[in-house]
Amino acid sequence: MAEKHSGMTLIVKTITRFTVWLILLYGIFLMIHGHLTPGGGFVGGLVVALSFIHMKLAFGKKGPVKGSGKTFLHALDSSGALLFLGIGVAAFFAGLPFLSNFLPKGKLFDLFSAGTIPILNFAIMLKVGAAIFLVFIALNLYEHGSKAGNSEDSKNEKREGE
Amino acid sequence: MPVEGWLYFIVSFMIFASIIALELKDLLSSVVSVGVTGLALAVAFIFLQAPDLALVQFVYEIISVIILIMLLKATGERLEKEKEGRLSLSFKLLFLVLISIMVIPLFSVLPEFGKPLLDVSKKYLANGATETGSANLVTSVILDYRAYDTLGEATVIFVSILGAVTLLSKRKKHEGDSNG
Repeated sequence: MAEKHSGMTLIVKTITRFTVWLILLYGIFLMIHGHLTPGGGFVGGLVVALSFIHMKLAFGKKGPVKGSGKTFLHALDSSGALLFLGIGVAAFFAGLPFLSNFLPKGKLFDLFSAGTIPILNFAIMLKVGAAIFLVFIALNLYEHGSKAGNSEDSKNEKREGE
Repeated sequence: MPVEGWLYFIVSFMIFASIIALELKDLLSSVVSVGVTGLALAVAFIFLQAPDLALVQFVYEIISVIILIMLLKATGERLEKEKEGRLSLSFKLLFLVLISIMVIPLFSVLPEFGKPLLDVSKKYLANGATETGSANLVTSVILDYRAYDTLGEATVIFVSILGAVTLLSKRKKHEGDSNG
């Protein structure tokens, strides 16, 4: 019972240690190369959130991601939205309409090219990743709270019975 | 086999899976059926040569199935409750026949698959790479030409996530109050 509530079995935890950083890096790769290959901020953020969900599912409450961190995730979510808006407003200072691509375009197929598009991708990744993980945290905490209470009650009952 | 043939196969598979998801009594099997529908949609996007959409659909379907299964685990309900006043099979078949009588003549009016290529998309294909500097034309459309659309989408996600988290937190606090 005690092992069950600190996540899944040892096999799952060992495999998770090998896979979770690969998934995280793949999400960041999809975001950075969003203007060169299929992908982008939205799917990059989803994959990054999926890596954190993976860790949370495997390790449970005693995982490397300690505590709820809801405030931090709210801050990430909001700062992503603000960054998107800020880039839109920054185009005014270059004398162009709202949300227009005011940075130099660079060479085609270069990593640092396409003006504001990589920064917008980064903003969307922050927003989507934080938001999806926030929903998961909200559901997970609710489930863990009720379950942990029940398990502690049942443990106490067992000890009393013994 | 042309693309249309594969699409007919995938779409009929999706319709079959969604009917199964509706009709099954076991909720876990229904969730798995919904997941199968979404993954088949991802395969359909691959056949339509839209890898961006296929990636998003694939990852999003996995996350939604995880969240649905966790919800099932949290509520502890495995079987669908019997509802009063559900339509009988004969009524369903009658409605199906009526709707197909109304809809099938409309198929002859539909344009051919993928035929009317819009002028706007021709302009994007010709000038997109030079005007935005982005090698991926989909990204150049959603983050440069149609950036307002993406801004609205981001706002929708922001507000909906805020509402969901607010509702969930309120429920938890309420339970604590009733316990204590």
